[in-house]
Amino acid sequence: MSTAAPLLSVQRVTYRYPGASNDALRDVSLEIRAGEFHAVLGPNGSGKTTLIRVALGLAAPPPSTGTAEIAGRAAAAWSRRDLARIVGVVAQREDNLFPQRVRETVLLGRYPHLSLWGAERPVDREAVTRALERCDALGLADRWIWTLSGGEYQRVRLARALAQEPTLLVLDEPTASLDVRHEMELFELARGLVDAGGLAVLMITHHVNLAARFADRVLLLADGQTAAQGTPRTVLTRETVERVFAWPVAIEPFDGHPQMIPLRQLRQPREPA
Amino acid sequence: MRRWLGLAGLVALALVSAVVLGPAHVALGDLTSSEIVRSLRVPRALLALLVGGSLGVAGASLQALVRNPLADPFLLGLSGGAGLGAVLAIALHVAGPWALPLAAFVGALGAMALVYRLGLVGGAQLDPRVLLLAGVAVGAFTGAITTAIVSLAEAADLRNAFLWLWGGLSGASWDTVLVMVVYIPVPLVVLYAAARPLDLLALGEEPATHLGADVEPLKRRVYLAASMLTAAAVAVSGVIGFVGLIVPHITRLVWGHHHRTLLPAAFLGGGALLLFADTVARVSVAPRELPVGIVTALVGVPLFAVLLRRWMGGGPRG
Repeated sequence: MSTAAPLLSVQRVTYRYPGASNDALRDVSLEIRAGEFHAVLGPNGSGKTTLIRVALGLAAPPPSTGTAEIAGRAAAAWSRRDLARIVGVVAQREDNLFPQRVRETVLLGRYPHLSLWGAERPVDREAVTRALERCDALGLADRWIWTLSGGEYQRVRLARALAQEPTLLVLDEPTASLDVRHEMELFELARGLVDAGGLAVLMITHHVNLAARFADRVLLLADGQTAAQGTPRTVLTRETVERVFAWPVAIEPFDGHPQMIPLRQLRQPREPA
Repeated sequence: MRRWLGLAGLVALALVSAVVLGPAHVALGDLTSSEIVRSLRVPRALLALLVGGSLGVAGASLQALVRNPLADPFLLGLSGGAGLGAVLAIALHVAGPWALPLAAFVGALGAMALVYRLGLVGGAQLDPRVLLLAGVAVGAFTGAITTAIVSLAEAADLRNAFLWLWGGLSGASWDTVLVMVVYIPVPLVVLYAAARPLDLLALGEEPATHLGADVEPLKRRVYLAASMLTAAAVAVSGVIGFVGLIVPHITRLVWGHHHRTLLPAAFLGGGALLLFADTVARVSVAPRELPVGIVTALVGVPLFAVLLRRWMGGGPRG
């Protein structure tokens, strides 16, 4: 896999928001290839979402130094429509201004494939059904969005991104505020898409331990800089994790993957009763 | 299909009643030969259809643009600009059949440009929230100047200006119909072409971008095209409120939120509503006439209150 050309390639990017006094990203690089599950970890405000924006050519103004390419072409040079056929994104937040049914919202994922005046074709409906099936959400197709649970809703949004028929999926904290079962379901689903479908997945997450178990590669950001990058085993060492998250941890292996256990902070020993 | 047939039937019924009913009695047998029907009622009915349709489409698109289902095309300050232009023309006794509509049109475009410029705060991106606030501010400012001019005007001018501000189709002629027929297809086509990306915009600007929409050009196109429609409507018929608010709402309840069906339905629905309202305005106090904006407001405000309660009540919004 490592010989294939990267689907997404960010090279030595430095980025500063207009008017800000610090760089949001400094000298960060990232490469993702087909069949790879790549996780981006880091504390709040470490530049994870900024990195995604730069990688997708959405940063305005563009980064002062470094390059961001998708499928070998500058990210900002893509039309949004063409890019949406290659990259599907599940953003952190979205609104539901008007009530919609699940199938309708997933059909919005077909937008980059539709002509200006043309109607939805049978192939579009099939793609929607297929995407719902892959996310185990076909049973939800006729439900109203507002009746879905948090976990169901995320699966539906993932299905909409899959309906775009992308080769790269970008998921920005898809498991935020989900319970254990639903967050495991989502990670399993993402891993399954990589293994069975040959997709590449780029996931921003706060789940250090799940990233360690599911991801092939991990980028750990701290203050807009790369703290460590590589396989979970090389990145998630006690020294690195403690430095980045500013909290004492223990790292224990589980199932061949490093798992982080945050420690209680040292306290004065209690007075014996 | 049944819904479309029902809507078409409604439009047909509205057209027929607008042509048949009126302060002057015209026997049914004389409808085709009557001068009143041919040069007054028919062009007026067609103008009501076109103006109402324009307001319906402008309202539906602006609601999607500013991401607020309670937005009205006149919230964006156009009515204030148009009113100022019209009242200036009346106060200055500018003569000519097209003086008033042209002055109103120019005023509306001026307000549109100002709101648009204010909406671009902090860079090249059009912020719909700022757009709404700018619209309210520009509307208040132009309204103040308008009122100042009206308060200094002579009594007869005052009445004219006041009536104009409440909207009316009494200025209808085949010429105004022709102008509208030539003018409105361009913004209508622009908005229809934006129908699908407007569906995406309901998710938010960032998700819409990820799904392949060019959000910035989309917002500009929609704002400008919807404003052009509103400016034309206000130029030929004054400020007719609530059509652009109520009609998209009702059509959403029946047709759902896909703008490819919503926009055509809003056009026909807006046309039908204004036709009925104008017939009421002409007939109810005959031989005098109510400004049609009063009729739409009397119907629209209670409906608005109901919709507001519904919408603010949470749960399924629409």
